[in-house]
Amino acid sequence: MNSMMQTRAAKRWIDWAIIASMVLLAFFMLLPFLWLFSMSFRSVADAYKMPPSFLPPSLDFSNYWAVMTSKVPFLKIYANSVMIALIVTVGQMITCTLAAFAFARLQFRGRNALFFALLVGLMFPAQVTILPIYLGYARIGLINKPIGLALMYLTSSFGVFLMRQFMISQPKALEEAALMDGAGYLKIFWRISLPQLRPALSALGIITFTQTWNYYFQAKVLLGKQDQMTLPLAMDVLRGYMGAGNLAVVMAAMSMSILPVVLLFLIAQKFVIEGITMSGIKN
Amino acid sequence: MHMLSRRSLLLSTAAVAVGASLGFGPAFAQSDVTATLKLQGFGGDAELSAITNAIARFNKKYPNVTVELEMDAIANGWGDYVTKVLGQFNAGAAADVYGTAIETFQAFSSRNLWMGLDDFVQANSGFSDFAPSLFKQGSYNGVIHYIPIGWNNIMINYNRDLFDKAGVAYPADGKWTWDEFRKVAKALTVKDASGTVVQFGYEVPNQNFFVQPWFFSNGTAILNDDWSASNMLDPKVSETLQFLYDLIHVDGVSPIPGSGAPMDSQFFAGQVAMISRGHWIVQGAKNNKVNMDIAIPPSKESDTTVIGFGGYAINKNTANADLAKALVLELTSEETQKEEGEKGGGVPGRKSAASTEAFLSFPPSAALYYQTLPHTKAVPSPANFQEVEKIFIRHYTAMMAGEISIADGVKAADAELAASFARLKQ
Repeated sequence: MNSMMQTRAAKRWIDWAIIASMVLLAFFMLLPFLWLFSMSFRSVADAYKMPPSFLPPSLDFSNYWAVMTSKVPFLKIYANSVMIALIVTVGQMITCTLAAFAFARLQFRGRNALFFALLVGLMFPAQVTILPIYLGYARIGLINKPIGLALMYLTSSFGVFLMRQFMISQPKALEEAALMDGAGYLKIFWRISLPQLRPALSALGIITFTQTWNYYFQAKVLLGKQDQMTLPLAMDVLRGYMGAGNLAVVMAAMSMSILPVVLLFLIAQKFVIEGITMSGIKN
Repeated sequence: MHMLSRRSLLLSTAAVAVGASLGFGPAFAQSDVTATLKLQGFGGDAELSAITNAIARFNKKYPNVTVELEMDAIANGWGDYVTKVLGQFNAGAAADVYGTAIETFQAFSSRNLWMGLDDFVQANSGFSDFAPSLFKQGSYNGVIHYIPIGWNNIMINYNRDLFDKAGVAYPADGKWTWDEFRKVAKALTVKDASGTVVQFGYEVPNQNFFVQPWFFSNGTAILNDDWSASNMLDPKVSETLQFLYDLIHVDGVSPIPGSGAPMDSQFFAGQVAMISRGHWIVQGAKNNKVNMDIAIPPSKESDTTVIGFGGYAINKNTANADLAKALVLELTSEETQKEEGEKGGGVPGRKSAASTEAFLSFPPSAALYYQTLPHTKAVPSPANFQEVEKIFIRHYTAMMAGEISIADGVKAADAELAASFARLKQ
């Protein structure tokens, strides 16, 4: 009895230690974001004061005002980023799910070779493929068009891989029964597979949205005009010629730009973790 | 520069007179023409504002011409800009008019991208307002490719309030020696009770352009005189690097220059007393109410500083050459130059624009910008500048951080630069 109580007490201590270390880790992970917000509410003189203070002496919104009144059309750029991220996210949820269904459930010649080729695509960085894309876009007039950036990423190897892994882990019994009842593959996909894919779809959606929101290199190559830019490029412009801009203003712009991603993740983090865990990617 | 013969001068004058009498603009483009011009500019808010206003004036003369403007803040250095522009040409999506800087001149001109502008310059007497040396530096193989906008010579920008607080005298006539500078930097470095630096005396630069005056003032450079080979093994290069290293590690007057953002914001915040920058910093200093003045970079053997200057070039394949020239005229007009200069976008190439009361009012020693022009050398800008800049800055930051000794660092940089120049010659 005594040893059982000791074991329980020890277990409780271990739990507390784990929780404490996770809180500490979470704090360190959040620190850069908290610092970002803190910097955005200070004057430049206070932002670089030594030794630094974590909390701003007062809430100074002038950096936010400076972003809004600068020559950079921040709201238009924000709208561009939202539009691109939404189109890409919805696009990938449709195309990746359909392709994943084909790879997971349909039998056809060359399926594995095709899937292998798809995975090979994951190994090529954007720097390798951007030039031919640029040349093609220049011919069809998609340079300096935000929609061009969105079209580039309507599907992705990673998305197909993620969804396929998830589908493989699903039981086939229901689908086989539906097949025997005369249902077509499209109907099976729509009525049986898709409803079970919600956690994976959420994970794919959030990962894709975040990734698209942060595209820099691709946007830098394709979008030069200020009113066609996306938010990461706006940060460059706000940094000023030769980096001579006011970094506190850049922090204010960054604070506004990361809000959608942070909010999205806070709302849907449960689905992301669930989706990734169930897809077997953790292994 | 190409010289006009008397006969061709007469013919040009006659052509201008006939053109003017027919109501043509100075670039001979029809005012009712309908077209689209693509303009690639660079810079920050000051340039964007001045260029936008210049386009508005251009559109008063040419109301049916749409000018599509792209701006590049050059946030990641000129190497990336070269890559971007070459990509545009390769893709057949090049602009008609390009704003660029001396760092890129050879890289672009050696690829035969631009239209020769000698006749254009000679036909427009207004260009005589520019220092002739700017056209010389904007030429390639004797042909003018770049119409100058303005320049930036790197100066020491200092916070006068911090000098006053430390009881340090401003550099007399804006001049000082390396040793005097070192003493001042030490006096301006402030530590708290725990020994943490709360105010740095100087920021040892982390960009290629900003660091060049230290080599020039020691009578050396990282490349040879015609920018065709490395000069890293010159003992004076090592001596210069050692001096900068000592400022950081012996005197503790500067943080280690990293690959991150330059310390302009810390300068505006009064955390750094002196910083090596060009005229573009004036806008930030004004916005942040920094009581700033400028001094010539400290000298050891000479008071030579570095100059970088910008210019406009016209795509040799543009379908609207006359319109492009008319646009360049407006972009380099006195009005545009005044606006850029007064807002802090660089020292105007036109002397008239650099002599206005507004331009000379801040910083107090603003006249030094023009006065030092004869004591400047162009930033080494060979055709392989993209590589040279990256090689140099990588080894330089490693040496300044103490990750590699200066003796080994200069050897490694020299070897890489030699390989880069060998590739260029192939």
